[in-house]
Amino acid sequence: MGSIHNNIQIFQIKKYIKIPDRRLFSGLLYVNVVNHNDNNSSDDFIQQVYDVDNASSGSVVDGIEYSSAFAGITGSTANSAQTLHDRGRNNMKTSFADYDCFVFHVCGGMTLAGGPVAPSGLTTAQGGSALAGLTPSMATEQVDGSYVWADTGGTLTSADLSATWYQNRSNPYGDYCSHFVKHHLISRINNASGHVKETNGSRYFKHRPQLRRKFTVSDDQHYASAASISNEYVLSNGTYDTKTSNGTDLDGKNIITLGTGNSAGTFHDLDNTFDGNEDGNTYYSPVDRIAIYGEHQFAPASHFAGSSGVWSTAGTGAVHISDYWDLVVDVGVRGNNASGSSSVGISNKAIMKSQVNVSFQPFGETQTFNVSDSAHTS
Amino acid sequence: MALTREERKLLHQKSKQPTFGTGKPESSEGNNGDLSFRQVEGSGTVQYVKAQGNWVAVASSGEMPAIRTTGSSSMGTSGGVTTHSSLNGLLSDDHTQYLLIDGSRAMTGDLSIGGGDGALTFTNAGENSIKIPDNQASALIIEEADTAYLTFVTTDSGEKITLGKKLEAGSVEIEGSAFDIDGGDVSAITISGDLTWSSDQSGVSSLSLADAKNINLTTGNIILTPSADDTITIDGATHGVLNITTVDDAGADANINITADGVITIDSANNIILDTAGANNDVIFKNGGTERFAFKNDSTPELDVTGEFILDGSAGITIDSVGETSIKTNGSTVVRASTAGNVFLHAAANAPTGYFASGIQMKKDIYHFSTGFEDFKQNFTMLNIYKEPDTFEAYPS
Repeated sequence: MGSIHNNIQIFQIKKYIKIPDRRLFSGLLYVNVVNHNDNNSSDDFIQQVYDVDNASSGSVVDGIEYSSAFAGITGSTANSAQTLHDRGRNNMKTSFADYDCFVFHVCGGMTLAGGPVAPSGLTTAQGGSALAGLTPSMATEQVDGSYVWADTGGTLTSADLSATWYQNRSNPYGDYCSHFVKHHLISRINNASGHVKETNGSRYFKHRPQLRRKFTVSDDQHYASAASISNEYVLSNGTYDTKTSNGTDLDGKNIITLGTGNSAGTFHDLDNTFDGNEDGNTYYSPVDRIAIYGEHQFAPASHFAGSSGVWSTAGTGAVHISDYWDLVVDVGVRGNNASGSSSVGISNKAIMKSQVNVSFQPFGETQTFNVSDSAHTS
Repeated sequence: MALTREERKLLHQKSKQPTFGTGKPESSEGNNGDLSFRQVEGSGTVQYVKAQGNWVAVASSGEMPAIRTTGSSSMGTSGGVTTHSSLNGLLSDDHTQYLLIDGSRAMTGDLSIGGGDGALTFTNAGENSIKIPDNQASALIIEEADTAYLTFVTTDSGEKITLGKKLEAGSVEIEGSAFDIDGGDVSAITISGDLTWSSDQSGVSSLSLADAKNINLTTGNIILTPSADDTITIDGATHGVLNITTVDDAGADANINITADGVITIDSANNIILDTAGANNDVIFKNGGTERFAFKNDSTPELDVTGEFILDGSAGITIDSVGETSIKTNGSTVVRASTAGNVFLHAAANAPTGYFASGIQMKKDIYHFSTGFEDFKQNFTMLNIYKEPDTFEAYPS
């Protein structure tokens, strides 16, 4: 399954939850994603793509057909469009089945107390004269005694003059602020885990599995054995009930029946097996994967002279927020291939219109949350 | 011997009517001008007139007294003249005590006329007059005994006629162009035409109109001045605007009090505006003297209610604020609706800077529900977030 990792055409849908510094929480996070456009009653996406692709008129747009979901990528080239199988669901209007639901246990928080790193061993400069004295010179003195930056020509502000500037812009910089947000996928349920690669084109991609990692030891001892780390890459959990509790088969009043009904035996109840093209797990998940992490505003100011530069976390324009951070719920829905069939392109659209509902139920040291579509700056 | 009734009249001067009796009246009886008819033996009925304090016999129904016939004896033996027209010298005016018919002799005493209706009659077809003396404080007094009914004053520059008794005009009109009724009490008056006052009427004690009658003013006002420079003005303006203005010249105590022994109804076709000013801006509703509602009508309005307060609406009740809406119990916030549409219940002990500490909070924008004891303690939240991709491929069709 590692080969699936080259699926990079993702369209990110992010939500930023503003949380105070150093508040520990633990809670459930639900993510429900479903394919529909104003709850239209369309055929499911796989069936619709097949029908349109095989129709005498019309075709699936390249942005969909050559996306990683349907073609995959070899190196930097999008593969040829794959041959799709007819799932026999024409006119069943089951686009509702194109959903993917996640339940995560999310814990942690973020500490911003460490602050920006003040590296040692680097050439530093503080004040206009020192910046002007660097090689190459980063600032120029004016006749009135003020200094201007060599790159922008802007006058050094009082913050610029009092800040400590580190030479060598390429030197890694950072701070000791860190998120300690971990999540554990409790369950993922969709209807898209039954596709068989061989019967759907060699490069047909499922949705990407969500990693579930577990640390265990082999016995119940208090000494420190090396933990075994087991990773599970979860495509889906769950099963359909096709029988009642007393064993009676469900039928059309409960569950979809696949087939045409034109002749005996053409109906197959939706089931959980991979016995052909008509099982219930060959729908389309709009979710590639979900990431959950913390981030805060951190951007040193920098100035350049040729290939050399200086940076500071205190100069004008430098940003470092230390009293709140954002918990980012980053839902990567499947994206299109913006460059069409010619090459691999970065997605600029979701492959379909999806409805994303997130419910987060944290318990812990704070109830002060704000939600935004972009990172909080205040 | 007791006096007769007529004698008592003469004695007490209670009548100007002639009196009757026997024998010549005594000079102590009656007043000048009185008449008395006396039965005098030998003379028949003799008419006496009292003049200058003496009773003078002016006529008789009998033979002339002997003294008069005795005087004529000097004429010889001829008998006395018994026929008046046979007398000589009738035109000789030698009896100055008598009035002359042509009025050429002024009376020197009082005139008493005993006649009834038409006792004094002017018959001249031209001007007739009673002339009274000039520059006299009592040029003429018409009186009963000494009670003046009508006094004519001819005092220079003070000429006037003074009524001593009520003047009843009945249906007769009193006309003139310069009546001056100065003082006194006109108990009732009917004015059918315009009433014009040339000066302010400051002495009217009360004014009542008959039923269904109006006071019609066009541009003037009704101004009450209960104390110096303190006024109440009732005036009207275009479109029937009614203004009632009170002024306390020395302060701000010109209150308006309306006390009704019934219902007071203000039925407005449009707004009812209560415009307060000054330091005390309350609009207060009382019940039986107990304050119930007090509207603090200033820049931070407030409704203070005394008693159990129920807001009872027959339809929906909406509280719509531009700023925050808060509900407090005993001064503590229990409900706070923020301008962002968030609802906070029960203030909590503390919160991070920039956040409102509350036991329960519900945020509209993210459908965020939280409960908590305080920061760092016992917080549970439900956040519900929705989002769509802002750009997506068209569904294959």
